[in-house]
Amino acid sequence: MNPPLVLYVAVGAGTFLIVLALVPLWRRLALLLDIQDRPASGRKVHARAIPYLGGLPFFIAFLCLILGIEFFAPQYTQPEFYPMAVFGFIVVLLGVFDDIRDLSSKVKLPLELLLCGGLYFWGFGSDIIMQPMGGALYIGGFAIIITALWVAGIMNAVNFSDGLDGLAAGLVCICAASIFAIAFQGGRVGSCLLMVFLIGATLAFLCYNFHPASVFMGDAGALFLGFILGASTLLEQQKGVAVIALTIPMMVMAVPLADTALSFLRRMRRASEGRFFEPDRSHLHHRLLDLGLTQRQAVLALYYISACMGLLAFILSGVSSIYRFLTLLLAAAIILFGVLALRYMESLGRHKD
Amino acid sequence: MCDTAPIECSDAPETRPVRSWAKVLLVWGMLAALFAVFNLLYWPVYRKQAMTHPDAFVDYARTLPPQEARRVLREGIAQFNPPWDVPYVRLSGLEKQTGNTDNAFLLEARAGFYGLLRQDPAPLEALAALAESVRPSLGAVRASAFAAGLSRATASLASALGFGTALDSWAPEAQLAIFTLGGSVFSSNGSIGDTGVRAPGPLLVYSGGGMDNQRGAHILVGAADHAVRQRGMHIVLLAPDTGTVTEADRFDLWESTLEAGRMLQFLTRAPEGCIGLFAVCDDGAAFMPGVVEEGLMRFGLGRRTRVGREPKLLGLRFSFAAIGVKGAPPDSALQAWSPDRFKGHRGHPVLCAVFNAGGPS
Repeated sequence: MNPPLVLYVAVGAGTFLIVLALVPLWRRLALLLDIQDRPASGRKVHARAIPYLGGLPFFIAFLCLILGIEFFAPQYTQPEFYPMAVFGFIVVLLGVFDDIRDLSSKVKLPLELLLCGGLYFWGFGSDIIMQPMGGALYIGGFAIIITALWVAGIMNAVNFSDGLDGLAAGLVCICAASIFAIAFQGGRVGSCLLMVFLIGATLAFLCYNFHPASVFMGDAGALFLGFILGASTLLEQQKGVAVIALTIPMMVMAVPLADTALSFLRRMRRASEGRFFEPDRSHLHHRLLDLGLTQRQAVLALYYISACMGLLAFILSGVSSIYRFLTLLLAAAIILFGVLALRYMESLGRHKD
Repeated sequence: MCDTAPIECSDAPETRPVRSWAKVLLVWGMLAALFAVFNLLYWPVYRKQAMTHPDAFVDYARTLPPQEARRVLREGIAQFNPPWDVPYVRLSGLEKQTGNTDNAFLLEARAGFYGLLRQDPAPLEALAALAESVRPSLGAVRASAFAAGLSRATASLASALGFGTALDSWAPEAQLAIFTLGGSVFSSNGSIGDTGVRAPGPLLVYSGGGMDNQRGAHILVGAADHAVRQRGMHIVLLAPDTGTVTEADRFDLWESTLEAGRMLQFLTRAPEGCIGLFAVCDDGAAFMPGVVEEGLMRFGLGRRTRVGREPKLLGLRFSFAAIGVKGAPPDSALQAWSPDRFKGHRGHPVLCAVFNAGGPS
């Protein structure tokens, strides 16, 4: 095996073991402090209180990853890791607050956008965006907005998908595996390291979180996973120059992103009633459950769709931008068709009732 | 234990905020402690990394003993051709300490040049005096033999610097001195760098850097300008014996990878021994795969700059001017570039020229 491959295996295995060892400790602390998710509203699908804080080991494992690489393979250290750790720390603090005190979206969303926009000024500043149809576009200061929207969007997409046991962790794992395959082909060590970290962390977490879950990652874990995923896909080195290239990550994360986009549209519809920031029970996974699927079936169905999109992204990573963009449009159309079909089936069910 | 269950325990609203705040603070405290330990271990390493990053060479040099600092500053200046005065001031100070006064004088002049350009408007008289003081160090350059070409490049430079037509009346040698202060390279003995090939006539390549209304690119062979003010890598091929232009083309590498493929074909089909002149207008690197970079290196060009930590030939929106010979060993050609922002645009104007060659001179 060549050195980076050994490093990837070591990082993946190390992260897996750290998370596997730390989750029970944080679970115990959550039980001790009574930081639990109680099935109090109709949105929650679990039947009993489940402890939070299961996502905090992700952050600790990330710090260990940075230190480990620095001390054992310093030639692979990436300058973006430290800013990610600093911003990730703030994200985790925000998530912990939300898990315990239930932070309103009205406060949370602007904070997230502010935080993610801050990335632009510390190691993630790129004012070139790759056009989906091919070519590059100089966007200047507008890049701050793109950076903030993209990273905050992914954070929320992962958070929204954290509605069923093992769903968020599994989707992140599949997305990370797909991006790893693409980054590995392109020889991008930084991306590969972050993706194997995500794979190791989420696989270990799934040992506790797959149905029936004994611990939840909470907002702290989901936001942090989303943050790492979003920030790491934000910058692609285009022949040594940092550019924002989002087509492939969008395809890989089509399932959580589509769910977020639909949620946004639903919220827009009820914004006139002043309920934009109110959560609902119409996410994709909720609707699959309503169709009669069990939790495990719904989760596996979404895993399957996500894996197909990841495979598609991997195949398309080698073709020209125009084909990639057209395929992305086609995938979006298929997802839209799937959602419409889902609605049709729901209405048929209601009609029968 | 009902402080996180508002529905089940709505009868205890007064104790809830205090207790949940305590939990928040406890968990935050634990995380902060972990993060503090991490910082204790990692911050010195990160700081050192940030300092050794090529872009931060001036700050890094401050932390080093004089001999090491001199090496770092020399390398940094050679790699980035920085358009501000601080690195030159620092290096000239160190050169003086070692008695290298000639080099220190030129570095001081460069520092003075960028110092003057910081003023708005830059004092022309002071600039002229500075150019005059540098002229003797240029050697016996017969710049006047190529006055027409030089004045076109100077006109572009003057526009980029906001001088209008003020430099037009200057003597060609003074114009050349200004380019020298700006980090341009030229050969005064007619040979093309270390390629071992003598130019058939005076050649001049100018790259104005980042796009604005005033900048552009010139490839002057005799009186004819073979570059236009259009984005991309402009390439002109010359027959080495007669100096006639055999092919000329522009490749818009900003737009697509297809252009990179076309450029590779162009470079591949160029005959061995032909002279290549290269000038970037706005950008010539957005879609430049490694294989095209290697195609350029077949003309004796070298990866002398850095983008991030990677040695590169040029980067996105760098100004870049070069004169090479197909088949020459890498790193032997004449090459000038600038990656830094200057007067609001990336890429500071650079010139690459061969004087005292055959032909018109």
